[in-house]
Amino acid sequence: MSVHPDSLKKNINTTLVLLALYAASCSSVPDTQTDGAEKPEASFENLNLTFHSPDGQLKMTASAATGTSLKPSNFRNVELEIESGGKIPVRIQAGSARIADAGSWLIEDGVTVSHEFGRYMLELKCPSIILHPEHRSFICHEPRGVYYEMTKK
Amino acid sequence: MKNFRIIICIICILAPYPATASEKHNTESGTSDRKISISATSMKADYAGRKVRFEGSVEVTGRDLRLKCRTVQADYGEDGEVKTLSASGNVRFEYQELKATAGTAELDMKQHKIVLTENPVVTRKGIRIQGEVIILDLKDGELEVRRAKGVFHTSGP
Repeated sequence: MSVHPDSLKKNINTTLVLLALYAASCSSVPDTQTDGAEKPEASFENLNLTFHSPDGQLKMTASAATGTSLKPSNFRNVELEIESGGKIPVRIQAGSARIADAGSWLIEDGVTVSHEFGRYMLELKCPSIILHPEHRSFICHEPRGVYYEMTKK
Repeated sequence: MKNFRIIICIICILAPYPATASEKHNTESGTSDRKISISATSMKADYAGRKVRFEGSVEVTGRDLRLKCRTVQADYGEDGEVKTLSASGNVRFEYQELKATAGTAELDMKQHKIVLTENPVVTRKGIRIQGEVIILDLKDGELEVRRAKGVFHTSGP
């Protein structure tokens, strides 16, 4: 089952609108002037923001977000979990993530990727990742890491 | 018949590279702390197609292992276990004292075999052998060369 970019965006927006309303009630939402037009911007700190893709295969949590009050698009301190076959073999941690284009995500700042292959683990570090939820894939740039057999518990 | 005997002789000389006893023990007990380093220009993880592909100046380095090539692709099953590992593009492979070059190399994780194709060449201790297809059996330490051509290099008079 694939994730449609529109449905993913809608889901994210719905979640964030609720969060924006909540955050507006308990923190300040600064307004700024851009090109003479009033453009509200929002910054949410110390949040425990979580969203799931409609098919439930992608989960992202972030501790902070910025953007407009109706459309936050930049997230900080993110953790992504990708479910497959009832397990979560892929986990990505990074300092920031933002919606790039066509439903893809740009994940940057100290990116680490953990990918389980049964008893084995692939751990990578890379400068950035492009995540394509609709294609159920991601591309890691200049990955460096290790592959090893996990110790039995 | 004489050529066949020579090939058998080469195979016997090239053969001894099975996993050591300690390696086998570690693998079976699941307590191995061996790590293989990997680097590349990019890595694409396709979790719908269950494959991971490293591209561009791929380097894989382990304790007895060294692999350089253009791409490495791992295909895995529903259980997450890697089924095959395919290397392609100017493959240069070193395992213990054995060195191999080929256009492609495919590692079957269940069979513990590496199949080298596209002008594969294997060298070890001054012996160079090439063929159409070279199959290294890492479990039993056997080497199968199809349509083999071998050269012995002798040192001294």
